[in-house]
Amino acid sequence: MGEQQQLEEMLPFLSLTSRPDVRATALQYLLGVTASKNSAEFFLKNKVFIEKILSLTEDSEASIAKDSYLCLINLTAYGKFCKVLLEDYDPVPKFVHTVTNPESEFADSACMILSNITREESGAQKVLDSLVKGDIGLAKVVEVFCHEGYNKKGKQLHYIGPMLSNLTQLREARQFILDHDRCVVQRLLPFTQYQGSVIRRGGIVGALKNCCFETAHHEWLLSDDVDILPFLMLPLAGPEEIAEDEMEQLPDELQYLGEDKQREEEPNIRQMLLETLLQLCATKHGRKTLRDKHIYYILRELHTWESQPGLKQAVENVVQILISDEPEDVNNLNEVQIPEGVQKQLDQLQREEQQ
Amino acid sequence: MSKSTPIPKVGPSTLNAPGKMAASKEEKIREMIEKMDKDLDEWVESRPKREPDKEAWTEDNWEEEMKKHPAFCSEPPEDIDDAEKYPAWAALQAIKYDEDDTPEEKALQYKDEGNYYFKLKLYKKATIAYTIGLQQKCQKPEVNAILLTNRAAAHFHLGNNRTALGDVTKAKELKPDHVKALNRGALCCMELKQFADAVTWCDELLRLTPENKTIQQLRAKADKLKRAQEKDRRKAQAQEKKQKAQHNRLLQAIKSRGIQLQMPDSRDSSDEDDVAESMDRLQLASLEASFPSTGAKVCLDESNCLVWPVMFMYPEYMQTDFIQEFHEESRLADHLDAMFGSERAPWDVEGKYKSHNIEVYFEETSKSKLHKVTPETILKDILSDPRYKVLAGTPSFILLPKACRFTEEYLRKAADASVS
Repeated sequence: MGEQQQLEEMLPFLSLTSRPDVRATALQYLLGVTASKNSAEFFLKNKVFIEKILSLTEDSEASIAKDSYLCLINLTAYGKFCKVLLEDYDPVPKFVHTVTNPESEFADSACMILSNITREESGAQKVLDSLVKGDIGLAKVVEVFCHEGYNKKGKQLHYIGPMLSNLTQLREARQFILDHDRCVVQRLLPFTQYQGSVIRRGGIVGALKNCCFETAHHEWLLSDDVDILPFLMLPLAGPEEIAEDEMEQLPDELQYLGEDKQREEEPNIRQMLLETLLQLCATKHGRKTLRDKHIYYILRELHTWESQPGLKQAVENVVQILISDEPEDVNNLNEVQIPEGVQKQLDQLQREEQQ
Repeated sequence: MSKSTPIPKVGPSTLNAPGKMAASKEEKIREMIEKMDKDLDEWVESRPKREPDKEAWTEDNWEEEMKKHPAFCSEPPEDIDDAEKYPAWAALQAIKYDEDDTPEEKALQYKDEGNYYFKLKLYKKATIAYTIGLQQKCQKPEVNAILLTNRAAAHFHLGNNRTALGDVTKAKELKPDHVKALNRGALCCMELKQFADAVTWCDELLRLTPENKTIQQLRAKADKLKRAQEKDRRKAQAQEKKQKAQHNRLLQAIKSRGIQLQMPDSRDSSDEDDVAESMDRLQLASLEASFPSTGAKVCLDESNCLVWPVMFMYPEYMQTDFIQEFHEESRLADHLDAMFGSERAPWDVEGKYKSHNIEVYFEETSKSKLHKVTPETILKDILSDPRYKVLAGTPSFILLPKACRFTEEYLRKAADASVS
């Protein structure tokens, strides 16, 4: 294979001792390779290149370090590559340091890599373990995320959002975010309306959705200590005028939003928000709170406005639970046993609907 | 219960009763006393004479002097460092604050002094002590951070929340992890109703003490209040907008009918540029009820018709009637019938004012000229008359009885006064 040979010939040029311009050119070629399909296979077979790229992230030439980070961003899009990277090179502490270093030019790139790495559960576990063991914990990462302007080089660190979302697929991370003795989830809530970045917004909504699977925490999440509901509802609320008597029943945050109020424009985020509400409906207390706060008015307007059929359905799912009678002796709907036959019928119905 | 052993009672020791002394002995004693008095006087006289003390307070100046003396004064003097003027102060300070002390030592001493006053709740004095402490220009930022934070606390207790916030903000710059400063900052912001800032201060505190329940609760409270405050602001905005829209609809309705408005104090405003530009503003203002006691103001009803407050004036008896709601489609006659149909007005001593016997006029203000209107006209048509100007948001009419001497006279006078 010609390319293999070509690449191998380039190897000497990729060392830190080679001429910088040659090194830069060689790396740029390599970057092109990482962007092509199935390139991860090549690197997994020729691990020496991985080592080269990792070492070049420390290059004194900023453009070279930048390109090597880009290579890693491309490559970590492949789950298989991530596994090997994590197993063989333990790169997490380095990336975490880069993210939390306020002077780093590559903080955003490191964020993206961590976000990629944590997509699969095993990767998330590795990163979380590394955070727990290391000198920089998850608390610091959240801190950095919430601190706007933390990075002095103007790096926005939005990709910590998806990283948190990925990490919360682990129970341990959810427990950290839902720690009643700390103020973590409260600080993340405002970002559901962060207009500056859809990445950040989506990441946080994803993390919140994951956390709402912890039904034991629903009461706390909906209490005044956290008050999650308005933060989930605001992105779903639009500019429509709601009758005054109805509006007065809504939480303060959802009143008088004005005609320039915009709904969350990203359908995926709307979807996640609705799924989060559905999760909150799993507990009796959750359903009661959602009813008492009259979020139905917001969902009604959303339903009228929503053009995507799947999302319209998602709104209906929530509304259906809110308007139906409380089932007797069932506190947590997630724990309801569905008879096998009924489940089969339901699956059949859903398939038909999708078609 | 343990008991201490009782202390034996102690009484006056018994003395032998005095007997009578011989007379000669008594005399001897008197002589001795007299001699001693004399000796003492001589000795005093023999002492060198001293000049009267210049520092001593005289009957004239004691009040003033007392004010200057640190033992008696109620407030330290402004120019306390003037040692010549206040020797006693300088002496006291020399005891407490040695010249040889470093600025840091002095700053700390003033801090202690401030803390002492603070404990006694003498907050004003405490702020002065901390201020002098800061003036020592101590090189250690921690010391100054403490002085600033303590001064902020004193100011906070005096209700000077803004000053206190300024102090802790400076303290935070000097020492970012000074928990007391951050705490005070959060409290100041709460008092100042700057809830978003209070949340920020709490967040910084929680970074240092992540599990501090009190701060967590404070943050939750601040956050909640912040959102309530934002809602109130949005609500006020929405209401203002709604009112403005209503006003605009009203103005539009008035304009489309060709009705002219005039401010009560401005004469005919025919300055074209001015009118064009300030028309809306003028009109808004000119619609404000000029009879605030009645609260009546022109408004639009559901069918988009104007309803005006209207004034009827009866110059013969110097009387007026105020009609709160005069629908623009109503005729003058409708109201006259209602008012003068069956009942007689109390002031109408001659019984002349019957609905069929009343003439209605309006005044063309620019020319001070009266124009007669037939009672069958509807209000809308009268107001649209180019000669009519609605003054102070309230159309008014002059009502006179037909074929009457007063009317003739009144009309003649009006004609004389009118500008042609």
